[in-house]
Amino acid sequence: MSWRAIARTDARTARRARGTIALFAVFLLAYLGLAAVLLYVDDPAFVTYLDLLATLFVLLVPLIAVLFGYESVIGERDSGTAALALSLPHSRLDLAVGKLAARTGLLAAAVGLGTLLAGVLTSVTFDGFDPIALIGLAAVAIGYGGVFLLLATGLSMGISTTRRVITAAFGAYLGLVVFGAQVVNAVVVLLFRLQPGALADPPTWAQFVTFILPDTAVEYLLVQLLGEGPLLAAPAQSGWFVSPIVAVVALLAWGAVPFVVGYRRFDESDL
Amino acid sequence: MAAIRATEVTKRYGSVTAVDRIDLTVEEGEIFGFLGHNGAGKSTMINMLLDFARPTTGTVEVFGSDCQTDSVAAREHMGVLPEGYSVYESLTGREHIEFAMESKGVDGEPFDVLDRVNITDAADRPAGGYSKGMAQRLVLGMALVGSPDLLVLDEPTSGLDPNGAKAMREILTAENERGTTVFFSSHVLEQVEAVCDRVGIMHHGRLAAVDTIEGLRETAGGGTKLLITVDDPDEAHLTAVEATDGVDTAWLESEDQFGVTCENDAKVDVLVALEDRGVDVLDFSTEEASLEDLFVEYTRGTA
Amino acid sequence: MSWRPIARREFATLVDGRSVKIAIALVAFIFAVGGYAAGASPRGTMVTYARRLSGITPLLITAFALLFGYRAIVGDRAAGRLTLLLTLPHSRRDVLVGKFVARGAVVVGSILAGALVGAWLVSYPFGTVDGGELLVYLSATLLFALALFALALALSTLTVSPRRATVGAFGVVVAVAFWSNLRGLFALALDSLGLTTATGGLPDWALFVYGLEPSLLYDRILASFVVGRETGPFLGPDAPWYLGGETAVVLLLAWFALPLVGGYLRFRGTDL
Repeated sequence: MSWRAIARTDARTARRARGTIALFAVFLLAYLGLAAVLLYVDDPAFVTYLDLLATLFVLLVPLIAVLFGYESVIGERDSGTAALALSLPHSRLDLAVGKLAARTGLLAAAVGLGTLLAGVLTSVTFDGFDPIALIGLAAVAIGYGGVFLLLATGLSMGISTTRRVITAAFGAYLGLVVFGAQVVNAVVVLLFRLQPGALADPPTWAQFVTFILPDTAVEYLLVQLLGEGPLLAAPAQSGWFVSPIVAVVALLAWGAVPFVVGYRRFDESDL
Repeated sequence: MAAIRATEVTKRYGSVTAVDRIDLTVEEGEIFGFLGHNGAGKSTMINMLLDFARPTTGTVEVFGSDCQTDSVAAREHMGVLPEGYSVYESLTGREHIEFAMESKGVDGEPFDVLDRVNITDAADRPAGGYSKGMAQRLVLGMALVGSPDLLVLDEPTSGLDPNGAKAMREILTAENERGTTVFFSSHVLEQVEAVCDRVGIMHHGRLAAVDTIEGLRETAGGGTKLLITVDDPDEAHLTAVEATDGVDTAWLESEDQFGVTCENDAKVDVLVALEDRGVDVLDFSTEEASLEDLFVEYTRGTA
Repeated sequence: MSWRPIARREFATLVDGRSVKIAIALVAFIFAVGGYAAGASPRGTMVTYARRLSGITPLLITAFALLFGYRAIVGDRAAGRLTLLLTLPHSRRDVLVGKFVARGAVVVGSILAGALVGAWLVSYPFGTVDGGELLVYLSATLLFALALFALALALSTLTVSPRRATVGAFGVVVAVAFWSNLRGLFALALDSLGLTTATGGLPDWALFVYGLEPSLLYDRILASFVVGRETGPFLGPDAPWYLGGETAVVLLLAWFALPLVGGYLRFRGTDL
């Protein structure tokens, strides 16, 4: 249970760090700025608001989580605070879990605060206010962010220089979230020898891989939760695997696998 | 039960052997000084106690807990001042102590500890602004939290001014009187000499000697160092001096001075031997061999 | 059984080298790309694959196998490592077997990996790969590679000078590359002796001799068992049995076994 001490200390440190202020600023800006824009263009429909917000979160949340999580362990190792923390009776797992818990907690707090303020604002000014949907979106965002915090912490443990951790973390973000589907499509087109029409009916495995990409999976979950909107669209994939369970398992795996592998490497190496 | 028991410990980094087949037992209640030059393997040894580094072969135990397979249990016995650490810049001194208390599951008043290491005044300032000496004392404070059975200190006086170093020694002695085993490494010999019950000398990854300071003096031979100022400092006389019974070594100390290590009762014989060769002794002084000399003695020739 | 430590050490030092890694990657890549190209034609099969690659693989495999074999013994010998190795309780057979296993594994592994990927690329998404054909193709290709590798290893035991070994290896590659161009010359020579057939072609015995060259044997095995060709002076219906595919298999096996045995006997008999 000694990860709690680490988590508390990390939260304390982070509270005074610029990164945490930026975290809160970005989420408040997203929640309130979007509401302000909609009020300004005079289209205060809550459904539109939620749709825009959800679409934004699909891309934004992993980026923030990766930024917020990549230095969690490598930073401590580089600066030497890891030597201090581990000279106390903590295991390395305590260190990793504590860091992760603190950062997930702060992310949740930022999302929670945004939700609260946005709820107050939109319930007064928007038509069709739906508190359940807003809270649901917050829950998905926190979980989605947690996945990328797991991934970033895993990289932070498993790779031994800060620069490589940064490269790997951004590589993961770009490769999985931003360009993931394009990469899969490129492979399909190449395999089908550049024949036109290969993408019109992609093979099952390509559909599966595309579906379990984190952004597709979370978008699917959001559609299940909030319904389709002008921007938020159900994934184009079809097949047995298009189900909430597969989406959730895939998301968990994107976080858990790097975390476990990274922890193994961290645990085996000299500090 | 031994406080520390290392059995056949070897640590290799690639082809470099940092620690070479060390067997070492530190008994409960003693102050053990761990001596050696930088790079002799002291820090590697301590890092293996803390599970920062894993032995290539062999095992290290602290109060019966294996430092690798059961490292948290081992560290529950320890208070540690590690090397190459850094404090949490944005946390205050008090928060550091609180962190240590939470980590060790100890209730108490942080100020009691801060008082002992004399940083009460800076308790609520961020530790990022502390001097090296203050940071060192803060981390010593963290080590003292929970009255550990074993204090492990890696170069504890580095960064401390002479007063700070003295205060550190006093704290160590006080802790030891309460029954705490103290294990610390240093390359500053005077400190070790002042407080240690036993000393281990690391050299090129090997444990060159483990003994009490008196014991080391005895085995190193000599025991007394003579400085003799003469009118004719010819090196040829050194051979004659070394041939005298009870003399260990003789050398040219400076332009007009011989240095001799010898048994206590051979001093007069040395002077007589010089007189016999027609050398005028202008002045002479004796000094007890310091740990420095012993250290040089033990680490010479094995390089 | 003391060849194992030799093989392990040999393997470790071998795959450490940069040029070795490049060679492995290149060979595997070419076998894979061949599959990509062969699978592009509608309904690609192993036949398409074998045809696509037939222009490049004989020479590629020859160079690759020679590269891994020609310095195996002589390199260690010239550097004095061989005497060091034999101060330990290893027999010379252990040394040879260890080197053969380690280096042979690299040769076989690279080709196998590339060809399997290539075969998969043939089958996906348009083509089909027949398991039997694939097996025959792989066996023939690996046998050909091992035959040349065995030849290189034998060369390596013959001399104490690495330079001569290099020249020898180069000679083998050149011979394989130009052998098929010599057919006209043979015909001319035999013609002047009045030994050609009525149509001016080579008589069967001369075809047999000419066809003994390993890359031609490999080609014939593929043509016979993968492509299924039944025309031409070797595989046509009128050709004698000793020009057929089955004989080619036996002959290629001999190319594999004879150099190994010869090299071993030679290596066992020489002073170091």
